[in-house]
Amino acid sequence: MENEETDTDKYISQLVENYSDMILRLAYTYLKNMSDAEDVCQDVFIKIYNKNKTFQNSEHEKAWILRVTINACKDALRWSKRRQFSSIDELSLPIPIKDENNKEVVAMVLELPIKYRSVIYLHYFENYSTAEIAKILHRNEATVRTQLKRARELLKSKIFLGGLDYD
Amino acid sequence: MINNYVDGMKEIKADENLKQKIIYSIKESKNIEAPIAFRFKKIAAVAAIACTFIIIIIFGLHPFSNLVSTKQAPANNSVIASSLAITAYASDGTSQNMKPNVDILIGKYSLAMSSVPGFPFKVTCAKSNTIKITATSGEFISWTPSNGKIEYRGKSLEIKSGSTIYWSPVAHGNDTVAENCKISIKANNKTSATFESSIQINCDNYSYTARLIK
Repeated sequence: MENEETDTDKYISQLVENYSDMILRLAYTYLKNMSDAEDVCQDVFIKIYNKNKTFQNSEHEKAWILRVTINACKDALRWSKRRQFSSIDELSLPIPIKDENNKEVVAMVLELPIKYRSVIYLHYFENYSTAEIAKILHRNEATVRTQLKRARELLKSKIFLGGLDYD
Repeated sequence: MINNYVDGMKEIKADENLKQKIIYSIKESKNIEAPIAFRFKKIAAVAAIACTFIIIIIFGLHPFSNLVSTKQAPANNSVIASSLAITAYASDGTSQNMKPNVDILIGKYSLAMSSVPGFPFKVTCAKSNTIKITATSGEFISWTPSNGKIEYRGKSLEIKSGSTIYWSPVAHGNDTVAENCKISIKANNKTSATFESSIQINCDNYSYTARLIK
């Protein structure tokens, strides 16, 4: 029994250690609010653990967790809209990044519509190809490519206006 | 520029405090047992229920005798208590009857849930003219799922028997989130007899649970 508990504890700790940063970043990308991102992060872990799903490999597991996180974020956004609260999008909350240059660029990405910032995050941060992103987001690959292109263009124009260097 | 983005996002990390909070909430969630142990316990529970059922049949007890008796209409209007049924809906949509003096786990409600605008419950009292419900915090919401319309009903209102009402921990126009609430239910019958009941809603780790306390 004790071994069983220890194994469970280890499994939970490992799960949290492996994925908490990724879930938090993706949730923050969607919600633009650290407090809501933390709540979603917690909910996602409970779902992951209780689902007890088996995976072919770690990549499969990671992709599934990303999908669960995206759904949880969409639910959170839908809920805030239905309750007629100020949309999370409209709130201007401090970005928890110390480096000013990095913060400025992240802020520009966060100003993009959700469909673009999720693609930016998955492509540039998680290094997913457009085909992989299409699978995760349940979108057409051509759509993802167009969204990535459009997101880059929008960022370039923002950076041009902000006087930063795109490259 | 992309490097700035990647470096910036790397700064967003789950701190130790959050990790501990997550670990704690996973452990507190209802399916805390290790997956293998959980499966074993589930099988054991099914076997135990099957055995109990067989024993009941062998000893000649009708397994649904209690249910049959509760379905019978009360003999007169003064027995209003037995005709008051409160149904609370679990998060998966299944409902359970909450009977007086019986604590029942009714599932959990969380603010992040998108399927409902609040903690749903239904009050049914066949012999009552009015059912008055009052909450100590939060507020009640009426919701029409077909058109998605919600109506903020405040902390106290009268409802018809069989109405589904939602309790929200956040009152409209107020950012404070209530962590617990007592909902008082008063049903009057035609002879002015009153039956009172109440539900206690508590929050634990962002999840709300309710139980009938009276």
